Amino acid sequence: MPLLSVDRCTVAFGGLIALDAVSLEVDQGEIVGLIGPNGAGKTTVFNLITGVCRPAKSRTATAEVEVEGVPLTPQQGSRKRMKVHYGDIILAGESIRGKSPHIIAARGVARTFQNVRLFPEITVLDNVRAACHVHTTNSLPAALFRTGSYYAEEHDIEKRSIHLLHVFGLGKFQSAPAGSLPYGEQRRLEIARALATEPKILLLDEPAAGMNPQETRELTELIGWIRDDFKVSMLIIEHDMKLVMGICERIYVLDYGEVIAHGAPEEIRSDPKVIKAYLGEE
Amino acid sequence: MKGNRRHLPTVAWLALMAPVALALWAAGSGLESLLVPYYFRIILLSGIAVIAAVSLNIVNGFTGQFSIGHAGFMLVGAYASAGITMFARPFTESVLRSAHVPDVMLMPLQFAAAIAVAALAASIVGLLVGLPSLRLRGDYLAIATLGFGEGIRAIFVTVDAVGGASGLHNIPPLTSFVWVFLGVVGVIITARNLAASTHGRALFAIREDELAAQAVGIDTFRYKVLAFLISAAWAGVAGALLAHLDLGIDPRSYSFMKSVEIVVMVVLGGLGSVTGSVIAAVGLTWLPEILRPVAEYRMVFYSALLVLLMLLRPRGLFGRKELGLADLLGKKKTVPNANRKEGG
Ligand SMILES: Nc1ncnc2c1ncn2[C@@H]1O[C@H](COP(=O)(O)OP(=O)(O)OP(=O)(O)O)[C@@H](O)[C@H]1O
Ligand SMILES: [Mg+2]
Repeated sequence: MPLLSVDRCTVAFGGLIALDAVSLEVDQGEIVGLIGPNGAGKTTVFNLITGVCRPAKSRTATAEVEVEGVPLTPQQGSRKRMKVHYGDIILAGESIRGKSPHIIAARGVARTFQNVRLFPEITVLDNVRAACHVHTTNSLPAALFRTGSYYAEEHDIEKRSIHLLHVFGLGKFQSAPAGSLPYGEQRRLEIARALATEPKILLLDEPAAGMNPQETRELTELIGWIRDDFKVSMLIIEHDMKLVMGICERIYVLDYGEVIAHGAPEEIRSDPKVIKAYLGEE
Repeated sequence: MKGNRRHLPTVAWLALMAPVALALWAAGSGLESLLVPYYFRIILLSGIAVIAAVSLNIVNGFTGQFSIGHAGFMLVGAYASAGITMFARPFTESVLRSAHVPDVMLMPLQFAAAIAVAALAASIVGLLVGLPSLRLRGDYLAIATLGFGEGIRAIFVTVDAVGGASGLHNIPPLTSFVWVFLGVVGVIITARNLAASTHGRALFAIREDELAAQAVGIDTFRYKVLAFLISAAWAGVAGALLAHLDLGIDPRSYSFMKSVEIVVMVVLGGLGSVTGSVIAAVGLTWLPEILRPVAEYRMVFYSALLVLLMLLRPRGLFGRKELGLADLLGKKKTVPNANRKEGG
């Protein structure tokens, strides 16, 4: 059973079909790439998985269902003659479709954003500590009266956060406002913050954007090391082909909201459909 | 960073503070007999302003939601507390007497109950207002809270049982230095302890970037409502204290202008800075009195000062900084240097 599976999901913005019955899977411990030309819908896939965008009714899949004659899920099947469905998103055996973003995050999906989105005016340490919030158990009164369990938990959060910052080489910035960090460090902090939520799967949206070749090489190493050390699966959107081909075990190619190819890096590299999508030839 | 004090539960800390409070109480009573009542009143008003400003800061400064209906919550607290000390008085007194409570404790206990009821009533109204309106953002939220503030006033004004447009009179004079002092300490501890906790960081994260906050698992709606609730509860306390200082409730003095005044205190002190709110609340309460000699030009000075301050310190007197015991004792915190580039 895959860790994450997106099953025939469609996302529409008004009339624009940004994703058309997209399916993809990520296995436990796997690093999967998601590539495609600008505007293909890659970021929308992340927004779909994290609950920022809700899946729309899908026409394509309805046709599929009629052809196959099998209902997609038991609930949908119990309604007479299925006309529409919303696809499904399964994480570790449970559906997360239609759940709020914070619940999906708590279930184990963490992400970074294409344009880094830190909490700029609070400290680097507090950025990470804020992300530890999801697993805290202390009540508000415990915090207001500073009970023993409050101190214990806060101490634990601080220790874990400082450790994470050191691991990411950000220890010396700990008390600086996050927005004051150099760009590369901001990107790394965003990954550290995502890992603070203790995710099962980490979604990285163009982590190498704006980095020079040296930084990209370091990032590539970092990603492999994160997978081994934090035991997380990863889905990575990236335009840097060297990075993608270098670390991804499988790659999905998206074009105009549809998955046009998927497979191992070597297969993708030589797939005529992919070459056509990228070069835009007739 | 703060040595042993760090691991002291607030209750223990308060117990240690008891002698200090006692001394302050003595000082307060001394002050009351020494000072012209007029100035003593302004001291109490400053304290009430601090409670209002610090509590509003939890919504506007910590959480980044712009509310301008704080006077509405104060008004709810004012009426609720007056309900206990005026209308429910025969009942509560007979209950307390049958429990053999000594006579000297009768009024303080009733006032404590009145303040608690004020906080509860205001937070319930806060919940009712917050649930629908906190889905709105920015200007829309501001307008919704403004509408609430004026709306709640309009409701009280039409109810004849609470005096209608002329308001309530003959509220017993129960607000003393100690009550205001306790309120000020309470609201500051609430705000500071909240800020230091994981719940406070959830609020800051919402202020900084709501989408990113959700992405790290923060229930942004729940926390916005929670901030609103805590803030409204303390506004209710401020209203209760004000009503029992003014010895009446004039609905006109809880208008939109009052809400704006509190917002100005928070912005001037620095959004998010408790220290700033305290200092701005005290300063802005005294300023009109200091400007009394130039009475005709008072508003001109007042406005000019505000404009000047916002020009010189656009992020408020304190920005987001706090002044703690350690700073006062001259201990330097070591903040590693990062190449700071100010964002636009
Ligand atoms: N919130 C939105 N509202 C309306 N349209 C949107 C929204 N988000 C994305 N789109 C549209 O959906 C399409 C896919 O966008 P998306 O951001 O997913 O592309 P992408 O593959 O990430 O592109 P890039 O490589 O440029 O980041 C685009 O046409 C975009 O304009
Ligand atoms: Mg994108």
